[in-house]
Amino acid sequence: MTINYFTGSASSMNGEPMHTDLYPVILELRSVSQNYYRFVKQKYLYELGRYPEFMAASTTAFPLYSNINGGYGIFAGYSLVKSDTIYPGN
Amino acid sequence: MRTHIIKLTLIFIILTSPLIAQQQIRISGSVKDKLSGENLIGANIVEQGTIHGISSDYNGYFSIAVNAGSSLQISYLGYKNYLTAFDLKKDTIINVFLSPDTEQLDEVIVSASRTPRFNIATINYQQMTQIPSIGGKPDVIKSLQLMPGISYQNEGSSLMLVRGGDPGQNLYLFDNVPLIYVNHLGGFMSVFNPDIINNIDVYKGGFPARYGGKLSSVVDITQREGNNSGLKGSLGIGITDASFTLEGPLKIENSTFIITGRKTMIDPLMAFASSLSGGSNYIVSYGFHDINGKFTWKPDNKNSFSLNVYQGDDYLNYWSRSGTNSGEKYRLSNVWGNWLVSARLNSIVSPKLYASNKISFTRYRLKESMKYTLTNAADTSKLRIRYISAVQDLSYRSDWKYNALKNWTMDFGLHTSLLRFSPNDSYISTRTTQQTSDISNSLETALYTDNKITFLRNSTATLGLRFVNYITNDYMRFSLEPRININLSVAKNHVLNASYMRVSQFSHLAFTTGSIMNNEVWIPAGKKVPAAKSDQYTFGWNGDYRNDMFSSEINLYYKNMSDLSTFREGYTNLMGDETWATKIESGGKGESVGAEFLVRKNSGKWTGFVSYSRTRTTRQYPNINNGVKYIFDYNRPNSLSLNISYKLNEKLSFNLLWVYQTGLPFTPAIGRYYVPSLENNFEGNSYYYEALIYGERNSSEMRDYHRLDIGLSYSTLTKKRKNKAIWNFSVYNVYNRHNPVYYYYNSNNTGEIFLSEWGGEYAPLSLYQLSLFPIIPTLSYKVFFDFKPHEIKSVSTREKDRVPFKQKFGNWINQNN
Repeated sequence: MTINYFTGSASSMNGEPMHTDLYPVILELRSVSQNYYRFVKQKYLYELGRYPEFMAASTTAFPLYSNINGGYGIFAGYSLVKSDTIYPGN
Repeated sequence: MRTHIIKLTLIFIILTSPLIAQQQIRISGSVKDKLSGENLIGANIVEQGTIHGISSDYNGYFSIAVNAGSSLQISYLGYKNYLTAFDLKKDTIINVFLSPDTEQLDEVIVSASRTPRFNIATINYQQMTQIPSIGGKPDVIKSLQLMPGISYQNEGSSLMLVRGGDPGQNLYLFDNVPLIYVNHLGGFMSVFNPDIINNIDVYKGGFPARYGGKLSSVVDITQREGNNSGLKGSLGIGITDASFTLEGPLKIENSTFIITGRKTMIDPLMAFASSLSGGSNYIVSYGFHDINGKFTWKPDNKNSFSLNVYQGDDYLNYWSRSGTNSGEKYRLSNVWGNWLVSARLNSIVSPKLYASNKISFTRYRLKESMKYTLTNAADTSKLRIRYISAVQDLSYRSDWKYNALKNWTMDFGLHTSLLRFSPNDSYISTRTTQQTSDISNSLETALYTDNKITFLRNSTATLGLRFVNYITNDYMRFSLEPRININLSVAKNHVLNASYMRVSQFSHLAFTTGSIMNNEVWIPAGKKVPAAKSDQYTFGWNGDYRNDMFSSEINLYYKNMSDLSTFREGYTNLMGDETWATKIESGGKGESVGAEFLVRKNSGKWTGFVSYSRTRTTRQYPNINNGVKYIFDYNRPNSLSLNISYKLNEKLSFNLLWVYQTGLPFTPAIGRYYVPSLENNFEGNSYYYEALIYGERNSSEMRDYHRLDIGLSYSTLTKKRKNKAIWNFSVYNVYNRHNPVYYYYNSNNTGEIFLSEWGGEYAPLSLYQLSLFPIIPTLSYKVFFDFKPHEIKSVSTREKDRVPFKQKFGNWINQNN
């Protein structure tokens, strides 16, 4: 499997070519319930509407997903597997 | 349906047939300004000694049946009345030239009968100049937004929302040719250069059958034709832009031209300023320009030919260069705007038949391109990304007017448009296979007829029918649109009106609120995004007092819309997305009900108007707000505008505008709760953050919006050449009211966004508002010049510096290339 990612910092000294430092990563794979998936999807919309930005596209207020009757919140679950720390340079 | 209308028409003819027993003749022609040769739209033509009359149409054309031997009285506000001096015995074509009456503004003009019009907001150049504006220059759309029933999104926006409609539901006709994109500066300015405008009519409802294709309004803009008495022009400069106009006759007999142009002043300044700041690594520049040109030729008094060109663009450019030796270059450019070319032939075929034929081509495109190059010893790479969203419209329109009988006028015609939509065409240089661009062609054809029948002296009934056919690759639709408009004259100068109309719209505008870029993407109707439809019922009253000095109107309406489309919740952009159709929410419903009041004072030392409207508009989409009906995002329950213009003396006039509106709706937070984060923090643990619990969508109102603007204009003569010049000083938001643009919850009062999940000190959440436009004083200057014959000598001295100026101007215009 190939994973393309870009995280870390880049620096250049005296106009020399860029030198990129890649940060180590930990991969986490989650197997989630449907409610959890819905919550995550909707959270992005919630955040978009949370702070409108002038001169940029903005959306109206959007609630977080809730599956609690008579209240707010989610009941959801997931299981996960976590990798060891990967050092991309090696 | 059509046979019903014919039957109905016949019944009317039979009912009113005694009226046509006398010997009738027909007088047709046009009404023009004697000095400039401009068409006068809405001039009153009355058979002398009766109250039988009509008004000239959008081409200045009229046709009236009168008893043989009678005379016609022709009048227009601000002009001397004209009485046909001869006895009219047979069908005749006349061209009437009215001279402006410079002294009459203080007097009362007697006009026997004015034909009142309903559901139409009208404004002409003169009225526009009487409204103080932010740049000290008249603004077309902002002036219209003061009329009842026409509103806008946010302060300063030039997008029009008519009777609870969306911004994409207005048909903008520029000399009867549709224009697609109508904004500059992210909606803060409209593309319509006021210098070229003769008259604007906005149909808010009760559309004549010749109009269709957009649900909410028809903005019918008539351009001037160019002065025929001599070469004239003007130069103007204000805070936003500089503009010029040049007009006059040409060598071909009876031909005139007019050219106007505008260009922002801020873009070279911005480029300069940004190159000074930020370590001179990047340059940002924004600007726009418009060019309008019109050529008119009248080979004889029966035919008039005109050619029209418009081009306008907005551009935002960004250049960046990282370091001097790294060889990295980056350029981002955005361009969006319209092209329009049209040709028109108007002919008076016979005293009873009038024809207008037009062919036009319009193109709107939004283009974003990104160029990245890296060239140095170690590495070379190039990346190009281009995204284009475009609409093209090739149209042919043929409109006819036939005056069948004294009391029956028939309009009929054919409109056909071949539209080519390419909402999403992208190119990325590193892709091995390019995405096939999604182009769809559609053909929209409409046949229409409008029958205006006069009965009971001055009452009229207009029965219209529009038949539209829309075909695209996989979708076809027919639509039958009945239009009924009845004017009942109840007393002298008091008219009641009732109307019904149905309209369909075959293209949807996916619109990003508040964004300065990626503004408009047009989507054709299809299987997934069906055509929108609306029905509107109106009822109105129109009354004139004191010989037209005061006119007043009340309009009530109910409108429902179906199959509306918008972005799906959370999406603001379709850029480069092959599956754009899945980001569109369709099947929406809308309802709007309102009452509109307008009182105008038309003559005297002070003139002006008061307009008030009360509305309630809702929307309902299957997947927005859980399918529950909600208050429209731009619903303003109360809206009031007051405009007063006072002429202190010949040179000085004072203008005032006060606007009051209830605030826009917003969604309030009714509580907050703690939610576990999805990602872990540095310690590897999930943490809790504060989230808002929102109440019902748009269930609260922001605080009231109000503002006062004043303007002072002083006209003078230039010292050297004695040309007319106008200084305009205006103050926007005189008492510096902080009006809200939007509300947001934050835990930091510095205005910076602060999310509690980022950690830091806990501060309680409060509601804040963003406001723009504090008190803004502006000054603008405009000079009119007149190339009189005796000045020919001085022209030759000008000739010398003409070339460098032209070059300079060219360089300046092209500075973004």
